[in-house]
Amino acid sequence: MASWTSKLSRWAEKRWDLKEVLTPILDTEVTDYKQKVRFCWGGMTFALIVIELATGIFLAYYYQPSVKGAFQSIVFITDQVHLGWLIRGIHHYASYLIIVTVAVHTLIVFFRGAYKPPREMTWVSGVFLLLLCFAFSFTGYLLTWDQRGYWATRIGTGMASEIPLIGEYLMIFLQGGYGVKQPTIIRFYVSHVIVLPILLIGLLIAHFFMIRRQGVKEPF
Amino acid sequence: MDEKKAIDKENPTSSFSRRKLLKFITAFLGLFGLGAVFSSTIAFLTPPRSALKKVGGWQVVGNLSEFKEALSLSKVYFGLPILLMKEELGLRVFSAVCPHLGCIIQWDEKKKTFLCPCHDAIFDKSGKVVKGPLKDALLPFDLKVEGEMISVRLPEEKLHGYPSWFRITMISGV
Repeated sequence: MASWTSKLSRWAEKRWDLKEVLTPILDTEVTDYKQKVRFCWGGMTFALIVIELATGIFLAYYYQPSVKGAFQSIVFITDQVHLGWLIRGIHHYASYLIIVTVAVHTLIVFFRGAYKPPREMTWVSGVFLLLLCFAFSFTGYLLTWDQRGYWATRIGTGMASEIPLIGEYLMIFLQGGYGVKQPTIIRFYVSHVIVLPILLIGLLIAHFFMIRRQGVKEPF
Repeated sequence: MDEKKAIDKENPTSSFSRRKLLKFITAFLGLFGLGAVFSSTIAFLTPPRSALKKVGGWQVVGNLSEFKEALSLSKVYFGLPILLMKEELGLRVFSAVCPHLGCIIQWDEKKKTFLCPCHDAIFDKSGKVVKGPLKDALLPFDLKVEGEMISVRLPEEKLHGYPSWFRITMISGV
């Protein structure tokens, strides 16, 4: 009597010939040097990103991207929704941790010289991923619509407005008008939950594909 | 490679063949199309002119009788904090937004100066900088009194020279 897992795998094997696809992906030797902590920061960042995506989806069920609803809906999530405080707390603190892990990851790659050919495109995609992390932080910060988020956004868009020639246009583009108001919340919300995640997932796929094809740079 | 050379020999005018021309036209049209999609996307995301609400015009903000209790009044003009002053220079109105980084200034009655709590900027009663990390004076508002009613107006022409975030804050309200 075979176990139900082996029955299931035989059932899948018969239909899609999964071994042929999965073996080259899964059957990879993890050498000793890769087990050191200094090689883990990219993976930690990815784990946190998965946590952010999961908790973010939960939060999106209750969050209201409007001047009147934003703060109220967050109070509702925190105080009323079952385990809402936990989901929101994880989303909040994991976002800070991502900045830490991604910064350490970037520095380690830089000082090991792992950005050098043939891995230069992995580095380039990584730099864009780093910028995406900052974009996620900046757009997410406003969504609570409290004093801190509001003024942080005013400062951010104010910095953009100081760029010569295009500054004022850029500020209006970011805010959706003069002033940080309802159009700004919608803009930041759509960027935070649709546009940036699509870019993030696309870039992550490229980043990981290149790492799997080339391997991690070996120690000196 | 060999095959290509052979084709070229058969066609002595291959330096600018029909194939090359078609490739060139396709590339040009392709770039044109991509440019159209990109520029349309930017244009779509740019808020239309009609959505850009600006603040301006006269608004009644107070009453002369209110000065009986205090010589400075904190008021709001289309969401912007302003200070109404009554002292020896007469009735005056200033924007309460500090032109340094946007904190809200207050009137210090004892020292007869405006004080910004964020970076200790001090302005005299005419709005000029006495001390602090900036050069721009406080923005004076236009003012008129009809009966007892005090009306003020944002002087857009005086915004020239202020930092761009300050100009945008003033014409948009907070």
